[in-house]
Amino acid sequence: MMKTVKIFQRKYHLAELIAKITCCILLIYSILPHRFASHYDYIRPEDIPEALVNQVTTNISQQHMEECHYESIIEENRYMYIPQFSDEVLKPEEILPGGEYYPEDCRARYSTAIIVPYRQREQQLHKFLSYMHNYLRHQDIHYRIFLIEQYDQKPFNRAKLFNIGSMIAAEFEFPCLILHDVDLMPLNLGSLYACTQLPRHMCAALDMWRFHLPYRGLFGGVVAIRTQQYRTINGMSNMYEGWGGEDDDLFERLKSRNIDICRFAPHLNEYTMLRHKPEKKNENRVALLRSGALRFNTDGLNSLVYTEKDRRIHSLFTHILVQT
Amino acid sequence: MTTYDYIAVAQRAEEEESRTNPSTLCCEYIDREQQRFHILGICCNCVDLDSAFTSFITCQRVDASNRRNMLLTFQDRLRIPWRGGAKRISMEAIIPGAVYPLVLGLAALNEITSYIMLGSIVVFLGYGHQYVKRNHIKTKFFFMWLLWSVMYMIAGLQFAVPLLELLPEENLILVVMGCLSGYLLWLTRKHAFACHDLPSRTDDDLADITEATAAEEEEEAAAHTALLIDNDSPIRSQKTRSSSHQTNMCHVCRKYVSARTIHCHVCNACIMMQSHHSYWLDCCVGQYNMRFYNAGMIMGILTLLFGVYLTLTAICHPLLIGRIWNIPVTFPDDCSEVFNEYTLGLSYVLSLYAIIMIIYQFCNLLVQVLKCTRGPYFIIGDMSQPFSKFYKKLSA
Repeated sequence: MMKTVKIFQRKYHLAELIAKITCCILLIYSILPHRFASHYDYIRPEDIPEALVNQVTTNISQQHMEECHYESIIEENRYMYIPQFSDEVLKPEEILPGGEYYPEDCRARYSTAIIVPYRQREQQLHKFLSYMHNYLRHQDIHYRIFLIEQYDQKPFNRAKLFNIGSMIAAEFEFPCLILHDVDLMPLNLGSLYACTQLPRHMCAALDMWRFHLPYRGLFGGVVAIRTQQYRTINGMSNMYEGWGGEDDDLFERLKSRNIDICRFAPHLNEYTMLRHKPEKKNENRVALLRSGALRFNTDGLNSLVYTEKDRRIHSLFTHILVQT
Repeated sequence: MTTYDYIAVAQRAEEEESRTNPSTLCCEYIDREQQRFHILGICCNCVDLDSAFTSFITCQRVDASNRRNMLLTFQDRLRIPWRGGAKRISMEAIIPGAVYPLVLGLAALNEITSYIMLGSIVVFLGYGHQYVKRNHIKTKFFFMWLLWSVMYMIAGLQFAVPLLELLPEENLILVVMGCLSGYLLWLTRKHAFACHDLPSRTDDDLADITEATAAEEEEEAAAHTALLIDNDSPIRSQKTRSSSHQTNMCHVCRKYVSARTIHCHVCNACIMMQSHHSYWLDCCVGQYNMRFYNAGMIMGILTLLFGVYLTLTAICHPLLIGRIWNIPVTFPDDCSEVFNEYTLGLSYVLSLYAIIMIIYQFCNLLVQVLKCTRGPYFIIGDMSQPFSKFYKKLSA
């Protein structure tokens, strides 16, 4: 039996050689970057004003004032996550009924509908509304917060609530949609709540993931997308009940239409997540994701079936109660 | 005709040698009764076990010698395939591999068990280390415990820590630092034998032995006097030795040794400029490996610190301190939820164990620094004498 191997004028025992090769392979495998967080291309802070889409609703465009400037907001990137911003709304008289605001000393260049799917999270909702109103008014944009509450006992269908919210936002002629989770809050003021030409992933630096992006296909949490673009991709799928999968389905829809996504620089994208009990996971999400390509044109806005139970105009938000 | 005879004689001798002593395969071994066995026959031909079992069945008392032989047979049969014959596994190598994951697995259940189990590990290892140090016991237990600890920490980093939250650059830094510290500690073990002050067979040494046997009391007094002399370097001590002929003497090795050479009862050798016998590396730290030992300790502390930082900021809620070169620098803020998931609890417990290791290594390094007051050689050793002296002693 050949027990030794001669390599480069040196004799190695076969077992020793196999052990050394195995150690080298394991070492190389441990360095490979595919198991770790991803770096991503991003829009530089100086290019952000050009990348944003200047579109407002009709009533804002009719104002006769000088346009607002946003370069200093992006450059300064003020840290906003202070406790008093989450406790109560400062100067609530500036906010119009229905949770709408536009700046009075200059004309806003961006109009945004912030759509929040919601069910049974009162404590987070209170923190979210207080903080977001205190935060967004410093951005000098026109916005309105729509809270879409699922008013039944079925599993939570986040994507369907976004579809419903986008329909209602289209009624109000909002050109830009922010698909926002109720437990995510931006840390820095530079994350402008406006739409870019491409759909934008806003919470790419989440504190739950050490402010890194786990993988480039992640498109969840907070997403900014133009209303017309959202209609082009037929919205989101209505079949993802429970937690998980609908974000990746949205990403696949955009990819199938050759629509790329974009992100701001990491120091503008920092978000924090409020602590809560994990949701029940959707066991069918992998199967639904695999067959998603077959349903892009049939499952979405054109197959949306819901019953609007009530529509309430609160002082801080527009409340839509629906049955799915 | 003559060359043909020589070749035939050589071939015949080689055949006889191969017939009498065939080389053992990797699964065969020679047991303590000098018989050849295969590793698959581990349960066959065990006379002591049979007799003990027979005594047990027939309600007789098992002899003490029978019990001891049974245990010896059991230890003798624990083997793994190795080059040149199956290698025997000692209990010192198996026990850490079994106890360590069991203890940490129990510690990862909740917060109370983690403190209890880690505290008991510290107490047990501390008492064991003091016991073997006081009695000069030669054991590989602590070395194997260190190896198993490192292997389980690597496995925990690969499988329990959520790797999607770490950057590839951070992982690369950790791997490079880990390999560097491992290499330095391996160099420490490799150069440990070079520190042995081996007995040389020269005429001077024979004269020394003669004098020792002739006037033992006089030599003891001379040794005591020489120990009081505070020589700074072995070069000077060499000169002193050659001139006065009455320098330090090791009674165990029966030879004269240079200054700062201490006899290690575990290694059974005189160690030049010995600092201490490291049970964790199973070797003495002396003249030629002290710099590698200290560098390996420093690099080990840094590696463990970086690993603990990555692990805790990944499994706990991180607080953003700032950004350096656009890389977020975080600090673990709230670790109260790590025990809700078992893998995160295991990562947390491994991090706590790594913190204990960091503290222990830092204390040891502090001891080395305090020894520096006696002389700077306890930090970097002395590499001025070449290895040729070591090889000359070996060849002699």
